[in-house]
Parts: sequence; C-alpha cells; structure tokens
Amino acid sequence: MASNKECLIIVLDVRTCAAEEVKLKSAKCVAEILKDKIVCDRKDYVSFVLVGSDTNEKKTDAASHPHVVPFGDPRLCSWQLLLDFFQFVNKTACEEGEWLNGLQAALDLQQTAASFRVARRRILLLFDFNDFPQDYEKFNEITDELLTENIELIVGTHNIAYVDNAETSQPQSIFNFSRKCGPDELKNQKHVLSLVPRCNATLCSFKEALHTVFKVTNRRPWVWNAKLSIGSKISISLQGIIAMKNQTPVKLVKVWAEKDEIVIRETRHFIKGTEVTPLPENLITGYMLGGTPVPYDEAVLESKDPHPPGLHFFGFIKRNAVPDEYFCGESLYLLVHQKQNQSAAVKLDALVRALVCSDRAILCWKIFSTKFNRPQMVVLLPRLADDTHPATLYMLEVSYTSQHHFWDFPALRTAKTECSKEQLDAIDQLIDSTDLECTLRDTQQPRPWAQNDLLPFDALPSIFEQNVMDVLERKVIHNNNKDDVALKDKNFTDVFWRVPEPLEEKSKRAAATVKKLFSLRYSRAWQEKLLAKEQAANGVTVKPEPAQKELPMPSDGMGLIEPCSDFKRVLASVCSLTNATERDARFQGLAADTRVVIITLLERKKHNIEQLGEIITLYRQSCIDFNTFLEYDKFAEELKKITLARNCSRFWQDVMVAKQLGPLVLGELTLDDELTLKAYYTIENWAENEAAEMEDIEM
Amino acid sequence: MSSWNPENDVDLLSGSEDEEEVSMKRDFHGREAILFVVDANLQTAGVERLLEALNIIRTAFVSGMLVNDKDLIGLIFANTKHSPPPLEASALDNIVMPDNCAVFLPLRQLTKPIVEHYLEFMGGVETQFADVYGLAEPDGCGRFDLMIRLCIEMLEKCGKKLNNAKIAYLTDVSTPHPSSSNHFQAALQKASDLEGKEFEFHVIPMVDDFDYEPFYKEFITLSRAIELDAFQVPDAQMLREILADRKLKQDFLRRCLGHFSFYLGPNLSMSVQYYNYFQRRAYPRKVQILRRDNSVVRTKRVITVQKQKDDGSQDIEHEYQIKVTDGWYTCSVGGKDLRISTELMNRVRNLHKPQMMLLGFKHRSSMPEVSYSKPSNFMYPDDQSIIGSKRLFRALWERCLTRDKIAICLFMCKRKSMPRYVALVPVEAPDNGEEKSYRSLLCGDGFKIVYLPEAKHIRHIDMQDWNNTENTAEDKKVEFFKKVIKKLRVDYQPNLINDPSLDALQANLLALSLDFSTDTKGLDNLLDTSQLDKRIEKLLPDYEMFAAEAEPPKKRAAKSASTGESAPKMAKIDDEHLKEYDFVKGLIKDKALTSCTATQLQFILQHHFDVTMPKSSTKAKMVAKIEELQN
Repeated sequence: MASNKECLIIVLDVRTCAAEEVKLKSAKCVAEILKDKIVCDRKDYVSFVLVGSDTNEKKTDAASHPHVVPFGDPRLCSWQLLLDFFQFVNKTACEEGEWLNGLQAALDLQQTAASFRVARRRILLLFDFNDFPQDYEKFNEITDELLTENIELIVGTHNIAYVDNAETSQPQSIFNFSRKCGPDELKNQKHVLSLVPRCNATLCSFKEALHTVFKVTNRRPWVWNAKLSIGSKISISLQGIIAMKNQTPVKLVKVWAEKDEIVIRETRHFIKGTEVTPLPENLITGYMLGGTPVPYDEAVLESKDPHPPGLHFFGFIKRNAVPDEYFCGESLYLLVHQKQNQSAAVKLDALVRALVCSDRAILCWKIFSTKFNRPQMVVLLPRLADDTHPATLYMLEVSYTSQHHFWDFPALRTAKTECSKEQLDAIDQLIDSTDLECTLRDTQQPRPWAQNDLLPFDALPSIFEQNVMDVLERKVIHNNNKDDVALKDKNFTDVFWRVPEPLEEKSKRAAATVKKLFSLRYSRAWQEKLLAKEQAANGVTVKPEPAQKELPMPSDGMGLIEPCSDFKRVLASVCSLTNATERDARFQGLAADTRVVIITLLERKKHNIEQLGEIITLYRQSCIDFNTFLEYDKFAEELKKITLARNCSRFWQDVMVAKQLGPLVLGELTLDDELTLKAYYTIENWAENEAAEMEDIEM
Repeated sequence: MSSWNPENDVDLLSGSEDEEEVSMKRDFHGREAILFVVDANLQTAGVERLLEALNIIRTAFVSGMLVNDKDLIGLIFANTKHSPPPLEASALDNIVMPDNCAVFLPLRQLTKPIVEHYLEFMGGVETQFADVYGLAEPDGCGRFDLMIRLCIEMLEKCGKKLNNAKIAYLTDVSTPHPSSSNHFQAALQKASDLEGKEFEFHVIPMVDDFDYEPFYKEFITLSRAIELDAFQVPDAQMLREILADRKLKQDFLRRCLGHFSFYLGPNLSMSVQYYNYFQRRAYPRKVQILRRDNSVVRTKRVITVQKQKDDGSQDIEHEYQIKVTDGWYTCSVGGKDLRISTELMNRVRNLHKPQMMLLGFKHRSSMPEVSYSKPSNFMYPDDQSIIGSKRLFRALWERCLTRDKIAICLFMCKRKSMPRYVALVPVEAPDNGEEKSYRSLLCGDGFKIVYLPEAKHIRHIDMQDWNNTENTAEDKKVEFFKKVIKKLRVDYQPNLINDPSLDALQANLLALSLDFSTDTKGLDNLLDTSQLDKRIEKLLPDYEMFAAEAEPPKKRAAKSASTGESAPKMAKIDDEHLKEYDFVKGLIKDKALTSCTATQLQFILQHHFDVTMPKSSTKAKMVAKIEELQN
C-alpha cells in the first residue's frame, strides 16, 4: 500500500521584535494545520521549531543553534499535541534569532524523521523578515541541502502581495513596498525572494500558506485498472483516478456503548406488526409488484456469470449531447493510460485528439469489477495533453431516462414581471459592483490575494468541516463541558456568510438601490395556509394538550335526573384513558346508556326541551370526536321515528331542527348531503292534535 | 439471525445531505394518485386512436406496478353513452355518478388481478367498446364540469391520504363545449376547484396539432394559478411518450425540494424554490417473503447494549435498546476520552440558517470546463412568501443571461444540511417548435444550481510518472481514430438507454407474475461487439500500426507465508515437550522461558514444581518463580 504520509516541520518566529500580527497569525496557522490533520485522521508527523526563544533558561541543546528551540521528535497529531503546542509557543522569548538556524534545526528534525518512511517532507517557515540583521553565511549551504534532499519549503509572512508575471501571467509573490524599509530589511527580503529560484520555495501570505500546506499533490494515487474496448479488436489499457469526490474527510470514532458493555446487533422479523422468528431457509427475497409480493430467486433467474469488468463502448456522441444536468454519481474520474504502457499512451493520445477534432465524446458502459457488477452508463469527455498531463478522458456517470423529471415551468417573461429600465440598470449596477474578477483584472496593482479572483473555484472552504474542527477545538481547550460557549460564537458562521471584504461596501450600496426600485412584500398567507393544513392533518389523531392523568371511572353512571352533567363527568373519565381500545369500549358503553336515557326522556309525557337539546348536542359532538358517525345516524333515524310516533313536533322543531342535530356529515356539504339533510328535517304529515301536545310540554 | 456490518449504520457525518432522502420521506405523508380519464370521442377517428390511448395507460400501469408500488391509479371514461359499473361496483356507493361517464377502475393500489382485468378488457375493446360504453349523444359532448366533479370526488373519497393527485385527460377534442355556451363557463369554473384542492390537471392530446387556445390554455393556467401569458405549449407527442413512463410534466408549485430565501444583500431577499432534474434510481421494493404463504415479512434491525455483572457470572446487570443514530463520537485528549454527543454534532449542523446568499458574480467562461461535485438543481421564483420575487428574479435572470454572468452564492438548502458554494447559471426554455428534442423537457426559465467542489474535494495528482514525450501519437494514428469515430457515431437520446439491470429485473418480474414476455435486450446483447466490429471491419487492418500493448511488469507480490520469510522467528514451543523436565531445564538454561505462553508457564509450575500461582500473575513473575525453584 502506497503510504501518503508526510513529515511537516513548522518553524515559527517568536522573537520579541517580530510583529504581533505575525506571531498571532502563525500560531493560528499551526492550530489550523493540526486541527485539520487530527479531524481528518491523517497519519502525518509534525514538529515545531521556535526561533527567538530565550535559550538561557534551557541550556541543553541550544549549543548548535542559539535562540532556536525544537519541540522534539516529529510525532503524530493529536489534541494533546495541539494543547502542548499552545504552551510551547508561549516560551520566554528574546530579541534575537536567525531563521536560517531555524531551518537548520528543522532539517535536523527531518533527518530523524527519515525512519518513518514518509512520502513527502516539508518545512513551513513563518517569519517576520523585519529590519533586524540576519547572518546569511550558511544561506547557500542550507538551500542546497533543501534542494538535494528534496524537501519542500513554504515561507509565509505578512507583507506579501501578488502581481501577475508579465511572461507567464501567473501570479507571483512580492514584498509589499508600501512603507519605508531599512537596509537590513531589504537584505532579508532579497534573500527570501531568492529562495524561490534557489530551492523552489513557495513564498506566500499566511492565508495562501495554509492553502499551500493543505494542497498536496499525490504522485501515487489509488487507481482503478480498466480496459476501454471498442468492438472486440480495439482496446486500450487505462487507469481511473478520482479527480473530484464529494466526500468529507472528517473522521470521528463512533462509539455505541461504554467500554464494559456489549453491543448486540440482530435483525428481527415481523408480519403485520407481530414478531415472528422464521428460519432463514423459510424466507425468500422478493419484490413488491404493486400490492402483490412476488418471490424472486436471484440465483435461478439471473445469469450467474458476472459481466466482464471494464469500459464497454456504446457509441460516439456529440460532445455536449449529454446535458450536465443529467450527470449523477459522487465522483469525477480521470482516465489516463496505464502507467508505463507506452502503446496504451499513444492510443489514448490518438483517440483523445480525434475526439476533440470531431467534437465528440464517448458513451459507454462501466462495469467496475466482478464484485460490483452492475453496469452503469458513463460519458467520457476528452482532454488534450498539456505540460502537466498526458491525454486523458473525464468519466462521468449518466442518469437513466426513467429517473428524469419533467417539470412544467411557466415562462418568466410575462407582462406581470416586466421590468422598467431603472430596475434593470440597478441590477446591472449590482452585478458590476459585486464582480469577483473583472475589477481586479484591469489593474496591475499588487493585490493581497494570489489569484485574480476573490473566490477562486479551487479554494472553496469546507464549511461543515471547519465548524466541526472549531467546535472540537473549543471543547478540548475548555475541557469538555462548555458546549454552549463554543456554539454561541457567531464567528463560526458569519465569516462565511458575507460578500468578500473588498466588495462589501459597494455591493451593499447597489443592493440598497435594488431594494428601493423593486417592491417586495412578505406574505404570511401562504405559511398560514400550510400551518392550518398541517394542524388539520395532525389534529384529528393528536390532541394538543398533554396526556392527562386517567380519571377514575365514576361508579354512578348516567341518571335521569341530571343527564348532562352525568354525561360530561363520565365522558371526561373516558377521554382520560390512554389505552385507545379500552377508551373506545368505554365510550360504546356510555353511548348506549345515553341513548337509553334520551329515549326515556323523550318518551315521558312532559318534555324538558332544554335538557333534551343539551344532552343530544353533547352526545352528537362526542360521536364526532369518537368517530362513530354511523351509530349517531342510526340514532337520529330512531329519534325521528319516535317523534313521528309520538307526534312531538315541538321537540322536533325546537331541538332537532333548531339545533341541527340531524345525521352527521363528514367534511364539506355536497349537494347530495344537503338534500339528504333536508329530507331528514322535514316532517310533513304531523298528526292533527297539536293542541293536545302543547299541554305535554313543560315550559 | 443474520447480523450486519456496523459500517453500514447511518452515520450523521456523511449522510443527511441528500435532498432525495427528505423528499422521499415526504412521500410517507400520503400516496401519489393518478386518475386517467379517456375521452370516448377518441373512437370516432377510428378505434386505433382509442387503442393507442389505452396502450399508453397499459404501459403506465405496468411501469407503475414496477416502480412505485404504493401509488393509486384509477381509470374513467368520459363522454360515453352508457355508464356500466366497474368490476367492484360497491366502490361507487358514496359517489354521485353523472351521466356520460363510466368508471372502469376506482383509485386502487395496483395488484396483479387489476392489471390482468385491464389487459382482458383491452383485448375486447375493438369489438365491444362502442356497445358497452358508446359515445354521448348527440355530439359526443358530456358535461365537462360534471366529469371534473366526479374526478374530484373519486380522489377525495379514495380512502387514502393523498400527497399528490393528478388527473390525466386523454383526448383529441380541443374544446369540450362551444365557447359561447353556459357549459363552457361552468367547465372553466371547475378549474378553480382543482386549484383549491391542489389536484393537478393534465391534458394529453392524442393528436399532434392540438389547439390549446380555445379552452385548455385558460383552463390549465386557472387550475395552476399562473398567468395566461406564462403558459408554454407543450409538445403533444412528447407528452404521450412520457406518460407511458407514467410521468407527466410536473407541476412546479407542488413538487419542489424546498423553499428558501435568496439574499442579494442585507435586507434584500426574494423567495425561491428548488428542484431536482432526476430522482434516485427507483427499483421495485425488495421484501422478505415467507415461503409457505407469500406473506411479507418486515425486518427491523435492533441494537441492544448489555452490561454483564462484574462477578464473572453470566448475569446481566442492565440491558437496553438503542437507535442506530444513538451513541456518540469520541476523541482522545492526552489519554482521556472526550465524548462528543450526536446532539452536539446536530447543533453544529444547525449553526447555519437555511438560505442562499449572493457572494458575487463571475463571467460564465470562468467555470471550469469539467467540474463535478454533485447533481445540479434548478431554481425558480416563488411569489407566495415574498410577493414581487418573480419580477426581481426575472430581472436578475435576464441580465445574467444577456451579460453571460453567473452568480456565486453560498447555499444551505435546509436545516442540518451542509452549506455549499454554488454557481447560479441562467438557463432558458427553448423556443417552442424550434427544438423538439429531450432538451426541451429539461428546463424552463430559471437558474441552474451548480454545486462547486470544495477545495478538499479536488484531488491534485502529480502526473509525472505518466508523462512521457513519446506519448504523442503520429497524425496517421489520429486519422485512424477519426475514421473509427465517423463509423460509430450515434445520436444520444436519453430514452434509448435504460438501466439494463433494472430492465432485466422488471422483465423477470413481469414474466413471473403476469406471464408477460418483454422484448428487453439484456446487457449481454448490449455488450455484444459483433455489430461494432462489422461497422469498422474495413478499418481494422490499420489498427496494426499501434504497437501491441505490453503489460507493465507486475508489482512484487506480497511475500507468502510458505517461503518462511514472514514466519515467526522463534519456533513455537510444543506443549508435549513441556512434560519432559529436561526440555524445561534446557529452556531455563537458554533463558527461553519468556517465549512460553502464560498457560504454558502455569503448566510447568504445576507439573514439575507442584506450585500453583494466582491466575493474575504476570509472565515475568512466573519466570522468576521457575528460575528460583530450579535453583
């Protein structure tokens, strides 16, 4: 397995004469590097060297390099190392210290790290090259050593600016000459600048230094070996390398239980909610075909021979035929010829050039391996060879037509959305004042950032990872118990949610103009509608109030004297039951009692209209709550029969019709519902003796 | 009991970003329903047209069964003379049946018998449809408003909670009633009912030159609450094709992945919504079935944490079940384990608010030619929560389009997702009629949201081991491949290529349950090279100019244990030998006792010296004891 670990020695300037800004930024820089390596679980070795330490208090290994203190042998990163570093960097400092000595000490540490067999060795020098004299006697010796040992040097400091190189038009770093420099400072800067040609050092600002440290090139990436075959005769041996992958490198150890506990994982089986324990041989996998389960024995139905792995040609399509909207998958692969296979290299070069010439791309089936055997349609896009790359093909997965959505979007250009000229001008103004590139391209002034772009596409931060790292750092520093402090720091988020600083003011002004010209109004109607809908959906089953304690069932049930309060009392107790089945059963009992009571009351000679109205209303309402519509409807019919039989027109009019106590209707009234109800309430052939009935009523 | 790999457990760190996941979950709140309505007028132009419509529905039934097993599907005939009841006549008990309509299938989850019944019906359509259903008299115009009412009633009374209900009307008549009639007005009024109830209405023209103007343009725009001039005339043939896949052009209002505010500056925001271009690959739902009676067995993974008593007995001190999402993360600080609760991680995820913020603009050409991080989304304004958004959106979109600009934004699509940098690329619906390709289905007016890879997603590879000046091919070799390309050109049409493994699975399932034989070409067919070989036959002799590929030397294989190189340095001590006192004496003399195991040392003590030491004794102690006893 190719190891990809590195040994990184960081040399820091802690001299009392160094600018505070440099010291603070370097410590922050180191913390960021360590955090990243810890959270991403990288197996890199790191150590530090301080330049400008007061070595008098510690005389042991100061002999070779005065004022230079190494941290110790390079080691793996851990949170403890971060805490140790914070202590180490605060050692007593002094005026003097030579950065070349610091480099020498770092080189010594790299020597000791040779036994770790690392793939890459780098030194990061964070230093203030100010107006203090430095000794450059060993300059050539040390730079030569860096070169011969193939150790990469990254130099970071604060007063770096960038200009575009006239020849290459690549960004080039220079010292910012905005202020007067002393002779020593000029001499220091001259030497630092000459590090670039002498030992391929990278000279950069702090921010760029961090980018450079994180941006590691890999010489021996993981590869997927595959043959691209066109027909049965033409085949090219390729290697697939992941060029981009949407994957977080954060690695945290997940724990399920305390150390002395055992974790048991098992799969349980249920048929319609009842647990069963079928023997494995009694189970068969299958698929749902609509509502019908279809047993499906893969071993029998599907061919046993796996498809041959590799890339199987389907056709040459127009280069832009597959819209990028249809690209799927998690990664972008780069296909390159098989290493050291010269013939494959030539074939691929010829193919790629032919593709570019005829503006074509390749559509083919990808079969990853005999194990991951499911074929996937991929498109291969050609990329010509250049100074750094041989001819390659990008490989992207394509989604299938059965997955595609077809949206129906109304046109945006309508009379209602027509904009005035001022409005469009305001938008233009916004675009111009928030331009991330053009404003910079026009000038040849040195700029504080490397690329001609305030938000370069290849340097976008991973916000979530940064948040995780920062929160963990806080937690470690505050020793575990201050979650809230860490999370309340608004800086964690605010740094990301803002326009790049140089554009901030201008963009604010432009946005204000836009706001003035476009009328925008918040509407709550939509949210309210949504909320009401949600409540309606949830309201039926889930009562908003918290579950009350169960009330004891009253021993005396429904009576004829005070039926309404009896009913309310018993109903309250029934409602308080938490067991749904028991609750329904109790309600059935109560309902039966109530119906008997109502009929008894109705069959009395004198009717208490008020009481009857109240008890029927209560009962009807409870039928809605308990979803016993049919029962009530039957009862309503019964009431009508009794009314007709006993000719209680007063009761009918004043109670049933006035209070609308007829059959229950679910949801909105439809025309048919209305007709049914009307039929229910109308009683046409009342018996004659209305007068006699009047006497029966107790007023 | 089968066990599973803890690696597969849901991990908060890597998961949860997937919008699909969320929109899939949303579907649990209700089912999708699609109610097909077939206009009996289709038979007037010859029974073929009717058959074509029924065939579309047939494929929709079959693909519906295969893909979304929970969906409800129904079928009605409109403008018929007779109204024969469906097979399951009781389903219409609560439904008022208007004249000139006939329900064939009330909304049901499809099962094998239903599909079989439909297939049987289709078999006899040619001869029986005119008699059984007929055409409304005198002019084939049944009441459109009553038909819509029936549809609404059927959807509302289907007995299941619906999440997304659609009515697909297959017709060849461009207006149901003369435009001056009262019925025409009544029909138009039904559109607002549909809008209020959030039922989608789609008309599927069975003729290519279908005129939307007299009726359907207004009806559809009303039913979707969009402006009349925003209506885009769809391509009839395309609509039929995608309906066979049981798809309809989806209503933009109801099927978005989410709504959010897009901030152009402090205090300046508009409301927008976003969509995906394609969905996760939908395979038929895999289930466990009991062999004996075909009942579906649901499986559930259970994690139990157990603590056994310290006293060495097998008794359990406590035991509890945990969820897959329970547990915590740990990191060690100076030997101490620091516990990071999942709750804390959730709060880290929730640090940011779901929103989009404009960071600046770039020229369209600054986008890298090939860059991919995750599938793109589509963004469209939403005038509901911030009124006026649509105009502002249009202004921004139009200016970006004319000036070739893209907007770079920071985007957090919903709570607990990961904030991502995105580029908004303005896209435009193609002019109608100009391009009748799949691309016209792809997008409307709006912004495409392109997710930009984070710095850490980009792998930097040093290609120096691949670079070689001899890689460059001579021109004649390039010419060879140009000729090959010419011979093997194809036109990409998304619907030509289906997922072969899905195709095979579906074909098998249909064969198993409905005795269908589908003519799917298996992948083996697709991988068959004979066609390709034939087309480039004449060119192949020239292929000889490329040198044969020499396999590069294989890497040295790992040392095998048999060669002895990685075998343990010291030979193992055989238990049998330990019984011989002389052998043990030899060990003591050679100071080789340490290579014995602890058990072996205990054995020596017991067997030769009759001493028993406590089980907890270290090896060093036991060696010292043996040496002491020997002396």
